[in-house]
Amino acid sequence: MSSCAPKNDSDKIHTPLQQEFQDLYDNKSLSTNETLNRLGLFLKKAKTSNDDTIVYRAYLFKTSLHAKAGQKDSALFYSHALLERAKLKGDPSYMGRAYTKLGVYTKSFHKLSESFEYYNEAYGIHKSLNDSIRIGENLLYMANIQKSLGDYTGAKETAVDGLIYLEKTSEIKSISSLYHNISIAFREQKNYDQALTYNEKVLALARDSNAKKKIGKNALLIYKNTKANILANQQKFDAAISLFNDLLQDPAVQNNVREQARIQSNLGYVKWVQSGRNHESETLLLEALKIRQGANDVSGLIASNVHLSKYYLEDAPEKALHYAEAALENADKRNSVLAIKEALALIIHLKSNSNDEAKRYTEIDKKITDINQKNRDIYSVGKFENNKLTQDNLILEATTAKKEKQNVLILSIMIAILLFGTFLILYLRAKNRRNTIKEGIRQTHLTEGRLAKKIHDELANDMSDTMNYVDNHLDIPEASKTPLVNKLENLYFRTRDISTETADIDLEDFPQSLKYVLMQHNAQGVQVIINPIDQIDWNRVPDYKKIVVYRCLQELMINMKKHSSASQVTVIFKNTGSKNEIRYTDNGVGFDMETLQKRGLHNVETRMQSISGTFSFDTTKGNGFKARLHFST
Amino acid sequence: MIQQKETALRPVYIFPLKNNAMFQKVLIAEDHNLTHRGLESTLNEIPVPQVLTTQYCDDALLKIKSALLSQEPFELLITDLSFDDAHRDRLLTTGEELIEAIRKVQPSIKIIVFSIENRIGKIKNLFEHYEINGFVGKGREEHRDIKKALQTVFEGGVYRSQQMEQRFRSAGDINEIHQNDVQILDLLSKGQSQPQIASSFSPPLSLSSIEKRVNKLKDLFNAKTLAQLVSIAKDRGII
Repeated sequence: MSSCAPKNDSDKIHTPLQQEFQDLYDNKSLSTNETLNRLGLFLKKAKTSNDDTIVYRAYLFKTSLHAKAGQKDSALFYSHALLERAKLKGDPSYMGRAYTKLGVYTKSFHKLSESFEYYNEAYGIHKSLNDSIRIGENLLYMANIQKSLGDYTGAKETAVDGLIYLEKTSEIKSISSLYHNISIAFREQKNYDQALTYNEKVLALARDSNAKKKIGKNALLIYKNTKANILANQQKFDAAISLFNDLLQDPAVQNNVREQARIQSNLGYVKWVQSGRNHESETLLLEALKIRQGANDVSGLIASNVHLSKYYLEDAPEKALHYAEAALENADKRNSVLAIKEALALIIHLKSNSNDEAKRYTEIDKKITDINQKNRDIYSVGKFENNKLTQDNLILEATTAKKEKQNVLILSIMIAILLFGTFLILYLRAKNRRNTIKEGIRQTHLTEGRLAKKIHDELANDMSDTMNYVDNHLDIPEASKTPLVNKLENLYFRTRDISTETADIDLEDFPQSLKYVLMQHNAQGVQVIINPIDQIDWNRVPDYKKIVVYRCLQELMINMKKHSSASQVTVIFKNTGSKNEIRYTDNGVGFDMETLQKRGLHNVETRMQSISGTFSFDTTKGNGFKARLHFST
Repeated sequence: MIQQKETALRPVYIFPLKNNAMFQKVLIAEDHNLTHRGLESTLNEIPVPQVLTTQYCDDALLKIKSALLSQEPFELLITDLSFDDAHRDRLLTTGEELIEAIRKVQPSIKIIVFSIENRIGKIKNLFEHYEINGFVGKGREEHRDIKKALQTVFEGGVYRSQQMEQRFRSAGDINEIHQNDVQILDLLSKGQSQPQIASSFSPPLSLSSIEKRVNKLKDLFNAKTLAQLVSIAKDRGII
């Protein structure tokens, strides 16, 4: 099959097939169509070999070439082919890559919802493969879709999740896109200070020429343009205008008509916002429109027409209506729902008889809401399932660590068998868990309860008995007995802690349950202060939310006990209407963001998200820790 | 204080031997072989003449009932809280259910819970709601603890290990800020004086009671001045 004679240890070994592919891949002299023809022949041959990787790589190359040639249908078709092949061969990594490709090409047909689902599949697969870079990449694509559908909160959450995976990698292109995404989301939500903070993070990444190259020249122009827009939103018009002017002098802009038009249009618009109608603004806006018409830049045309419509809104409503209708026409071309909505809003305002538009506006508004909700559901369900697995693994790791410490062989085997049995049961049950989030939480709760009982009834009791047996009945020298019994005791306490932490929650008398979990930590130099727990009307909170809130609070308290060395903890329960808030404050040592993930706080976040709640916190090393849990009734 | 319920229906019985300063008849409900053997041998050391063991709650209840009917009731029950699930058709599945059922048929029986339970809230509940007479945690000290518990309970007391006693006290110390306190803090933050605050309550509170509460809050949050107290209250989200 293959000639595996190594030329040199450090050289990469190529089979003839791999060599042929590499040559084709590197050959820049052929036309795209010619390369595609040869690639087709190559694929036919490669499929009969047993080198799966080369087939996948050929497919990936083929889809990219089709996309480059504007043959979107073919790109989509071969992405499906790649997926089928990877499925057939049971190769999850390439299945993930095929899903990402499907996401990209489906998006080019403006099918955002479908595209989001593909990315989510890819995300799930790479997550189970622990491939941080590809997880982050897919989360970025997902966040972009959420952003372009106007779900800024969702986009932010997804982007922040993406950052967690990419932070420690050198993928600064993706990292900068994620920051940018968060910045835009904040801007759209009118939180301009945060928007600027994240925008500055992006620009700070472009430290040297190498980094700039990685991020991309055009992307950088967009980020700077965003900065100017944010400054204008903050009413810092002069700073914004001077930044736009700097950009217009930049050779990179002068060589790029689209960017030039973008900046001109924005500059004209900002000047108008600053000082009302003026000739300079009008000229800039009209020039930009002309450039964009010439370049057939559809999304640019939407922006220009919206700007102009707003410009003429007060004084020349007929002109304004004309531009609004032009904006709508272009938005329809791209099927850009947000732009359609914005243009419709302008038309309804300007047109005397706008019943049809009003009807369409309602429809599209509902559509946007539905898609966003669906996307969030898709994402959070996947996230929840995956996290469940991780959580089970954590318990498994913790107990495995205990096992290592055991130095008496027979005992460790005994314990290992018990543990294995317990966790096998847990694992099998975990595998059966699916369905909706509610069901997921309920099932988790049940499983945790069962698990706690099992650990309690079997493991912890046996640990205790074994310890006493060794202590009282085993005839071995004191010198080796004492450390052994000490170790066993430690093991017993820790097993008991697992059982305590996962035990059943009494949901009937829920305030009492919460009080108990707080009491548990009101000891050994820690003072717990609360306000009346029934400030929140727990009778109106559904059970599955109670479970999550309980676990989150428990996690915070356990964290406090383990790491904070706090001497005072305040937990405050608040309610306004259907919104509930729990505020946790301690006066402990706090911690820096680096150690954040190790502290189980990520679990709290995902748990809260699973009930559409939020978790936010504030800490710095040495200054205590504050956290807020928000959830609705 | 924990008090036993007295009922008119309570059967009358006499301790068999007056000079024996210890329980004469004890039932152990515990489904772990090693554990109940350990318990039995501890009780034999004391000694307790009659020790019976059962592994099921239902069976424990039957034994208590029949001993009562034959005028030889058990004086003490030592029970675990958690029992194996293996037998499906059981009526009673947990120690708590067992205690509740037994208290109905023989309110005067003493009960000691022997368990690995570690949640202070749950243990508190056992004393307060189920009115048990003693709690012994499983662990290294269990033999010594059981002996002490039997002695204390026999003498009419309530037994908890020293460590448990400490945790009990600190668990009781959980500080709950009253809604009145929140209102006081809120008014302070709005710059009202303490006399003003006193009169803004309906019915109005005395100035001294406001001062007392404010001082208590200052103590609690370790605040030296009112301004500091208000800023802490804001920081913690109390107001």
